[in-house]
This record gives sequence, C-alpha cells and structure tokens, in this order.
Amino acid sequence: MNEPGNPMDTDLNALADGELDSKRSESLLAAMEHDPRLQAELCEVHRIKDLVRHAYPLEADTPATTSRRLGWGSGLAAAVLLLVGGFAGGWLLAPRLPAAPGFAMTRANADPNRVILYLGESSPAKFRKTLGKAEQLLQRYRDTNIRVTIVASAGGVDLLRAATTPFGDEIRQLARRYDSLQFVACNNTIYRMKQEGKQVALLDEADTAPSAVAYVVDHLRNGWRYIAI
Amino acid sequence: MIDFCISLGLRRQLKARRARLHRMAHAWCGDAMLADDLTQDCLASALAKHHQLKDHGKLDAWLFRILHNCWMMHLRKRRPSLDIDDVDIRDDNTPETRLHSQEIAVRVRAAIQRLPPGQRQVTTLVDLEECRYAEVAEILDIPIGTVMSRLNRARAALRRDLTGLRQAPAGTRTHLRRVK
Repeated sequence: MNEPGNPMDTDLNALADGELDSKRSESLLAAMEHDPRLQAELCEVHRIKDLVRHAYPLEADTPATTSRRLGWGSGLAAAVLLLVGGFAGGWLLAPRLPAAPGFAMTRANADPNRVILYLGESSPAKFRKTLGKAEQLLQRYRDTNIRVTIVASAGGVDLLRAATTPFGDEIRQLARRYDSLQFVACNNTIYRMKQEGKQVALLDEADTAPSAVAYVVDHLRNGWRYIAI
Repeated sequence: MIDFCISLGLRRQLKARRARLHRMAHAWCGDAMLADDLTQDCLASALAKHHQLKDHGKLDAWLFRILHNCWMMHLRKRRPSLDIDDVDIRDDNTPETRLHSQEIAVRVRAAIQRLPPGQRQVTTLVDLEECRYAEVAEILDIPIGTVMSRLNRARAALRRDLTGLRQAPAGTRTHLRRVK
C-alpha cells in the first residue's frame, strides 16, 4: 500500500479480497515469494481487514451502543493482532516477521480445560516443547476432561507432515493415549506449500482447518485458552 | 392473499438480517441511535417496496442499497443546519480519553469514521459483509473502478491511522500473560 491508486496496491487488495483472477494471483504470489516487502504489504491488508471486522462484531438483534460492549470486540481484536504476527507468516509460508515470544491468552471467563497450543515455526526444539506441554496438560488435568488442540501453521506444519516430522511415533502414541488431543494443520499453509511444488502428506492423526487464524479466533470466542509455543 | 404470504416470508428474512443491517448502518454513520433509525427506515422501505425485488438471490444487495439510500437521504436532510450540541469540542488529551483510546476496537471505529463516507461504505461492505466488488458497485451505484480506488484509499488511510496498535499497553488487559 504505497500511494492510493498504485496498481500493485489494487492487486494486493484484490488478492486479499479474493477478487484477483487466477493468472494475476499466480504471478503476484510468485513475485511475493522472493519479496519480503510485498509479503509485508499483503499482511498489512489482512491486518486492516481483520481490524475492521473485529471492530464491528455482529451482535444478535441487540445494537452495540456502549463502550462496555466493545470490550469483547477489542479483546478479540487484540487477540487477532497478537496472533497475526505468527499467522501472517503462515498465510504466506514465509514467517519473516519477528516471531512473538511465547504467550498465553485467555478470556476472563475462559474454560481452563480447553486449550489451544499454537505452533508457527519449524523447529525440532519447539516441536518437542509443544508435545511435552500437551502431554503435561493432559496428564495433570486428566480428571477434568481437558481438551488440547495443537494448531500448526507456517513452519509448524512440518510437525504434522509425514515427510518432515521427527516425532511421528510420539504423535501416534499420544493420539492413541489421549482421545481429547487433536492435531490441526492450517490449510492455507498447505495450499501455499503445494503451490511451491512441495508434497504435503499429513500424518493420519492430523486434521486440517481452512485458516489457522479463523480457527483460533473462533475457539477463543468459545472460551478456549491459547498458548503460543 | 399471495401478497400477504410474500410479505410474511419477507418479514422473516428481514428480521434475520436486522443485526447485519444495523452493524453496517452503525459503521457508516458512527452513531448507534441513528443506526437504529436508519435500520428501521430501511426495513420499512423494504417492506413497502417488496414487489420491486425481482431476484430474491439478491436480497442482501437490495437491502444494503436501500440502507445506502436511507443514509444518503439523512445526510442530505442534515446538511443545511448544524446544531451547536453536535459540535465536537472534546479535549482529546484527558486521562479518560487516553485510556479510552487504548481500546483497539474504539480506535478502529474512530479511524473508520474519519474516512470520507464513500470510502467508509466501500471498506465496510467488503470487509464486514464480504461483498464482491461488483456487488458493492451495484449497491452504491458507482463504477467498479471507483470501488477499487476507494478501497485503496480507505485501506491506506486506515493503515496510516492504525499504526502502533501492537504497542498498546498490555497492562490494561489483565488476561494476557507471558509464559516464558
């Protein structure tokens, strides 16, 4: 987004809005692969779109009239902002933005027994830490019917790819041991990998979600806790 | 009788869309009370003109077009006079307003209200309702090129206006904590 009217801005907006034809999308995505500035520009468009959406949450039949009502909307927007650094990389498959340090986030009334562990980086140390954290939670809170979902985006998807994971056996064993443990890979990331000609075969234990951002935001809305590794 | 049945079905459809129309009206005019009025006017007008809707698949676009017309009518009526009570003489540098401005949603809403009305409408129709550019052009009765240029300008302005949100003080949100 340089100057208004810049054709590149028009294309970036159209791409973000799903309005760019496939030929131009392909050429823009190809250019983006080696251009961090373009990647950042596209992330900014998505950030603005997310901000607009979350500034006006849809309230069932009751008009939003007071700043108090904005509390949840702004909390969610904050969540999206915090997540976007990690997810933007996932969307583009090139996590060049500075990685946010680990943080946990939850609403005041969140259910402590439903936890999302988010993994956005291809790092064996982080893979190990994620699986360790999941098992620790599942063991410690076994009596409270805890549910843990590991959401992998960007490089984190490597944990769930049969060809790249160093922890396939551990994942299979964990999945057998804990019914309430779920593995979810971001489909946007998988799509981008395939565009780049990579073979993406996930472990049988892994499910996919269309977008890691949307998945996490939906779960935050429903009271899940969020921990980034 | 047929007319009555159509009207009954439409009432249900309108009721299901009321919250979305209100959200859009609020995003456009920035005032919840006025948004109530605009939504009500829009729904009443839709009921009165239901026979004009030829393609029920385009009900949403038709309703947003009516809402747009209601808002334009309101702006035209309002233009000649300015009530002194409506003049904003707030001091934006009080502790209260500084605290208030830390709310991200409030800042975003304020930034949207600072956009020219046409840009505000385009960006909210695309981002809140996920309208296609062609639908926005139809709703607002403008060329599709204008939709794209307004969207460019709106997003560039929002981006300028909404920098630094990531640095919003974390102390105001107690439900966020570092774990390492």
